[in-house]
Amino acid sequence: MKFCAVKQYFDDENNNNITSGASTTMIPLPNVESHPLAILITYCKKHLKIKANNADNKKETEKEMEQYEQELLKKVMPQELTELILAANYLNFKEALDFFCRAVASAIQNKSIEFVRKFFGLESDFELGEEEKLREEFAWSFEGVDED
Amino acid sequence: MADNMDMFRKLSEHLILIIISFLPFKEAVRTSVLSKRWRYIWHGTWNIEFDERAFVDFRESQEMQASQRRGFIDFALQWIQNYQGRDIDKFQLTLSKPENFNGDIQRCISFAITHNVKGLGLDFSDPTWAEDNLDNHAALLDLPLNVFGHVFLESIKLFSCNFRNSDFMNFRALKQVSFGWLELSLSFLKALLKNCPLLESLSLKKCWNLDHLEISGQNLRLKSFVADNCSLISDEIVIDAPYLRFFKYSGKMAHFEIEIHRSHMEEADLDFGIQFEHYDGIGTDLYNLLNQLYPVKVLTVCSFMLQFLPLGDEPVRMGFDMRIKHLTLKTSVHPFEFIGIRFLLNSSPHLETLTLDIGPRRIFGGYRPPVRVNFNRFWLERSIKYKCVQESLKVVEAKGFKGTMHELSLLAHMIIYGRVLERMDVTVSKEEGDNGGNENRYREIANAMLEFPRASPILQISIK
Repeated sequence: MKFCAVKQYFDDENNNNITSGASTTMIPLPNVESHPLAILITYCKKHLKIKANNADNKKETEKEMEQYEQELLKKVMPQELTELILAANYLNFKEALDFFCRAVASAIQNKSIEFVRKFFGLESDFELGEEEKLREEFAWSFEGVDED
Repeated sequence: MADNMDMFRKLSEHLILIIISFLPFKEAVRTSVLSKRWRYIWHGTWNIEFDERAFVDFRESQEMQASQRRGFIDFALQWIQNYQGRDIDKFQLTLSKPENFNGDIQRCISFAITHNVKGLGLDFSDPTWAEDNLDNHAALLDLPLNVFGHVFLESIKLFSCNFRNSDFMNFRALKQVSFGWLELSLSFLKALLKNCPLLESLSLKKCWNLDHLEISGQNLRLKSFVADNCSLISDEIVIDAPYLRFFKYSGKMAHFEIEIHRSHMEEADLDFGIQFEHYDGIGTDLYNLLNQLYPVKVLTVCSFMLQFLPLGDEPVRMGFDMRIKHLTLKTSVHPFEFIGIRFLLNSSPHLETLTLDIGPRRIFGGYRPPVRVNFNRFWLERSIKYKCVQESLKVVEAKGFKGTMHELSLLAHMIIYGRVLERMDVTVSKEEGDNGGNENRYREIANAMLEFPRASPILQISIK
């Protein structure tokens, strides 16, 4: 189900005004910026369109969706991903949430700690020696990392 | 960057956990070092993989290894104890010499089951096991009975872990099954295929005692089938799988009877690397095999096929145009393979990507080319051109380049005649060669290719 949060509004609306036809209720989305919302709407529309076009052929649907997702990722800046994740989460749009989270995971996969910190705008707030202890404890997980 | 910091703070721990759970477990662990806030978030990940290979160094003494293995198990047990999440998606445990850790393993598996794991993987094989004489490595551990109560399991991987065939039939929701280092019977396999209507992927690796392979059944929805170096009593492979997309076979040459459907079959990977003899008619058998896999768009072939495919009734090409867009050749770029390479290029007029996986291969002394050829001029003969090279080939990749004369002339052909070639990526071999060759030398030779005349004005050649 896409945009569950929004659907809630429609359901409530229908329950209150049984006679109303086209609803003109404004749905407040205070936590979503217009830019990520636009991308999410396009994502959703595209998904539905591809599904409709390839109703019988699930494989074609998957392939087309993958191609569209690849193209989309090329256009989205890494920083925008955070906004998109927040928006998808607020709107309760599970597929988009998973998709963008997976994109962030791919972006940081196999990268050094320094790279990932920069990516998320993090700074190490560990006490002296704390970080070294951690790195030692998990030394086995640090093999085979990309150099920056 | 100030921007990033603001945005990041908005990401709740729940959302960070979703991101972390898409990372391989080993990387999820690393996130604990990012900052105080991230220290424990990874603990909730629902994709869990405990792999002893990250802890145990197999070059060390047995005592040292045993001690490292103990450390690994302790880490896993402690992790499980501290787990705060709810359901888990994947739980994988890779541990050789499991006989000393029975109780601990039970605890790990129970943990997975009580958290409704969807995909369970247990690999108790030993990386030092020799690959021949598979039946010398009987499984030392049985799958605990409590696993069979978990009837909604979707994916299972069992390597060197026994079970009773009848118990296994409890799992009717399986979509993916992977067996390795196990003794299996054909009747069990057939029962499995019938019992699991949702099965999409089946992989058999180094299994033995199968009479032959028969993958068929009413309503079989199988999309992927892998047979990797299994030991069959009779070398016969029968497949009737209309939804099959991916077929990978590694092993001895066998008699193949494959029925697939053109709108689903996508990719095949054929590796007869362990075949050490050839016989009259093997070329025709290889031709027939490729014929049965006619719709593939992605094909990987081994050196054996390159040498013997054209020695059948058809030395020049397949009798029809294949749909291959991406062709990978496991080759040593040896003259005995040239006619096979030519055969495949001739048969693939829509080829877009050619990957050369260059390495040492078994070259057969008894090879006799079907026609007289001058191997030294093979790729530079002006009269012989390939439609795919001139019209559709966009990418050539060469991995393990050593700068031999034959490698150079093959790649030169692509550069000189590839009119629509966009990219050529050459990765030099890291191995020392016989004639004192090394990485730097190979790179020097590769650089010389930058001067070759190019048919494509947009060609970019990269050398790593």
